[in-house]
Amino acid sequence: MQVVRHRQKASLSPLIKFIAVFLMIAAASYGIATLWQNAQESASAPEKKAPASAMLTEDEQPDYDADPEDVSVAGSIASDDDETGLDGQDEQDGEDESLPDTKSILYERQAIAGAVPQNEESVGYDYFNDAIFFGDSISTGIPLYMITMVPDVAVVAMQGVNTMTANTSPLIDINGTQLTMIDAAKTKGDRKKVYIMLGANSLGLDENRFIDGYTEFVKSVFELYPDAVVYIQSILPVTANVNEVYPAEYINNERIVEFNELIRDMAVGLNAHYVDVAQAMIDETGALPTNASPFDGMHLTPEYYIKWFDYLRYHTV
Amino acid sequence: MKKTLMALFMSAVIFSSCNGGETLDIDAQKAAETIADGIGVTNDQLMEAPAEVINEWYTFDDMVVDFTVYVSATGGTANEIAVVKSKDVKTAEEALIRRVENLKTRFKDYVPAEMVKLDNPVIVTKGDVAVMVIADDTAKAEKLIGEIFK
Repeated sequence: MQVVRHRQKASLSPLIKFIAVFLMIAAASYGIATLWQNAQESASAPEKKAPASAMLTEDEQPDYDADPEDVSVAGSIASDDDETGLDGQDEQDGEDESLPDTKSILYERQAIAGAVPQNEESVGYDYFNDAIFFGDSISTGIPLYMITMVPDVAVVAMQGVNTMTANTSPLIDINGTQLTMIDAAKTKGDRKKVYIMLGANSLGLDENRFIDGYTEFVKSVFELYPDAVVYIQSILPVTANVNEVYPAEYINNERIVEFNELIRDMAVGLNAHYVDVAQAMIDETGALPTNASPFDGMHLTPEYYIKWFDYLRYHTV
Repeated sequence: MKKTLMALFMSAVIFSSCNGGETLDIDAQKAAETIADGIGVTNDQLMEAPAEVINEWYTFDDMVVDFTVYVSATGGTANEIAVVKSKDVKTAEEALIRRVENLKTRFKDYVPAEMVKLDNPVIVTKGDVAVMVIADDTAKAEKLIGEIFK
């Protein structure tokens, strides 16, 4: 009897199918696991807090209870002999220890007439949360140093801005787009107070060009914020040795005082409010103290941003 | 057969799309601090900038998972350090390059001397990390970055 044997060919197709399905499941599982891991990493990413260097340490905080005679920052209170005609300004006798540093007198310099006088009470930092600050490099420090105290303040500022380029140059970067200062401000929403500080980069300009440019800018601000209180701040002083870093001869405190008088006259003429914040920054010689700007004689340390805002808090309308 | 090949192809696609690059075990804050401490800036002070400020100055997208930036504390120089971790390190690098261009616009007339360092920024990427250093000493910057990426 012949036995016919039939060999059955081994079927590879199911095996390949099994491997393919296994790989698919493995790949899908790996992908899901990776996505899950990434989600975990994102959720546990460290919260970005304000760095310690943006806030003053306890030792650096101004001591508002200190004896005014010990303070090193001058105030803007005029004496009874003051001929400026400012109202509401009383001579400080240095005996009221509840007054902060900015109300002390350490020098003979008189407050410039036409400046916003000092109030008996200060406003809180929340006063600035619906404010916008326009300025140059000095104002760029406001969001760096003051963000925890005035978290909602808007700042439109840039290195090198002067009273001419403030109007026309698209210098402000907003999300990758270069805008003029006024156009950049439009992205900040409605503002009820405006603070402007320009001039440090304009000291080399002809005085007429300087004030014409500044006037044009202030008028643009009025147009943008018709209901806001507009404060125009004095140009801050520089240290006595500023020319070691900025050798231009026109960068000096005498020139700054001259330009501040022009700014004051412009502010009064435009019915804006002139805030002589420079008073909070000068020493007995009329210069910025060296420790206020140890690197270049012009840009401030964090402590002086506090002094700046303390002055503003006492000088509102 | 076609079905099988398709299954293998899909598996490969699923596998490759889930991880954009090597994930480095680098802490952005520590790395930036190391560079800031070692880079040797003498004509200015560097400070870590608040996140709120950085989100305005840098065009980071939502692929960025962590970042730390040190900037000039006075605003008077262009010294800057940025360490960024991102799921898309290419767009992070582009944000750093854009920042350099923005700083050039700020400083070219303001402090022209700063253009030297702005024309020679050190920008290095590895894995999911992008680092930018704008400083006078580019050799030191490269060395510090190299040590971080070891």
